[in-house]
Amino acid sequence: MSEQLAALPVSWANGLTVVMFIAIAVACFLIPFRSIVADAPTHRHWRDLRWWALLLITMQLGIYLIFQ
Amino acid sequence: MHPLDLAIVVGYLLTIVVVGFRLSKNVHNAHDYFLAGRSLTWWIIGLSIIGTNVSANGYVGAAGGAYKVGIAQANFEWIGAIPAMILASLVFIPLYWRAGVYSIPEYLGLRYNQPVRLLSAVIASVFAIFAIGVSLWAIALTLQTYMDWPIWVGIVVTGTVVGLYSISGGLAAVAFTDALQVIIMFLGGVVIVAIGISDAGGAASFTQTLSGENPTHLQAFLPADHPEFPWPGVMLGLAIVLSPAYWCGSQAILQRTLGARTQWDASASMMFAAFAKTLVPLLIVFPGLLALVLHAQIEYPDMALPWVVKNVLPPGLSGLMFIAIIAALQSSIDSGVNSTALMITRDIRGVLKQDQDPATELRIGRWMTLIILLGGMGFAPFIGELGGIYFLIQTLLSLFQGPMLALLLLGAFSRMATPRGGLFTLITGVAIAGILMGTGMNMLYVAFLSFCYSVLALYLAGFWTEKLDDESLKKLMYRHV
Repeated sequence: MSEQLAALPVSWANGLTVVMFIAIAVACFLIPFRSIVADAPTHRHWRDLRWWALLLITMQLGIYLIFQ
Repeated sequence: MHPLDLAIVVGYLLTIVVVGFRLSKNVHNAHDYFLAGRSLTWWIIGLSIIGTNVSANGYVGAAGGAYKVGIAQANFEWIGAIPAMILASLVFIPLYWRAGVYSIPEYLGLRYNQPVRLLSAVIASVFAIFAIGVSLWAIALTLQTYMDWPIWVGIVVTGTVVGLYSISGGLAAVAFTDALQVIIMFLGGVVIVAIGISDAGGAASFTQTLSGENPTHLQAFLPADHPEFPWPGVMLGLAIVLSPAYWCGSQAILQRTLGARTQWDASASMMFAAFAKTLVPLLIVFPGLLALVLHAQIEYPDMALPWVVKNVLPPGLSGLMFIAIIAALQSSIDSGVNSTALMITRDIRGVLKQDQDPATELRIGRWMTLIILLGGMGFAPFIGELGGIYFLIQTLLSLFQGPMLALLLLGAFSRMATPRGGLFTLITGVAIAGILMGTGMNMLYVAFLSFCYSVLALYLAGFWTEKLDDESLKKLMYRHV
């Protein structure tokens, strides 16, 4: 397996990373808000961890675009 | 050592020991000792997670890796961490938290059976003791470089300090001292980046020198035929297997989330840790690159960070950075010691002796903490003969991370994961990983292939072995969370 994979161009890596992070962002928003803040003291929007995840993913996309 | 540096070092050591002892007053039983009485808030846990992780991944080793391969080393902090941390935060932490368990092996025991719990606890404990030895050795190496202490003196001093607060205060002491250590670590990191870039003649000059002399050192991914970090291996082995197995299954990492005051705090702590994790390469990768740009004369890559601390920073600041390194490694040791004591006390001894008395567990847990620490100290002096720190840890991890991740994922998402299938998969999966490793295959591919085998074996075993009933699965699968 290693030999076949060794022939893949490095430019694919950044593209796949972008696709992976976008897929994770979409998956995050399939989780209902009520299950995320189930036992939180308040249900304010800043406690919605899906937006935390989206911000994180945006930072990652920026990093992988810079270090190509 | 400059008197100012010495004052900072002594002040730091006294502070963490005093904090540890103060928190020990709140420890009355095993629940307080191992889960901090479920009182921890999200940002304390988040900082503690980073403290545990940075050192586990090797503060010294990662700088050495960056010296060798460049910014690609940071993949262990970015694609090799962030997706898995999001998965842990939104899926696995709520699952463990609602199951009400003390440990990941305990969850596996409920989802599969007691032999799986026992076996996973034994494997994790052996690895943890080894990792504690590696961290002790890394600290001793730093102390030797910086203060000319013999290796054994560094090991004894560090073991004594960690023992003083972790044996008395349990998880709460570990989490609070970790948080303090991470703040110091980030302060030290920011200072080293600022002074380092200034010494290199500015950011533009730094990147120009680095990429001019080392063309691939500013590329996130290395070519697919790279011997250590081929990019397909990084994607398949690290991002898809090793990283999720670590972030969703490491007892040392997740134990503090189980000590959260609410489930939201537990999940938020991991997400907060992921933000800090994104910045960690500044602390642990940048010094390796800086050593390269400043043409450090070092014998081997793991000396890159101690060299930078000794030669780049002025007195006072070098003491702060020195403390940052020691703090990072100490936070790994204390977390490893506490979580391993929990697994041996509850998941190994508790299962074998059928004894879950909280008062007895507290007493045994404290003794175990001491014994594990002494075990790590005994093992530490021999690490230097075994090669690069970081590579060593990752190689060993890849042997059982594939099967472990398969058990966790299918356990959370599929009824086809059965108790007998789980035990069969864990044993054969580790064996297959060992065989693949023996063929000389890259560890990242070993992890991926052993994971693929384990998913297939566990799923197929579900056709022939008895499944748990719906009532038992109620709190153990994601669809019910």
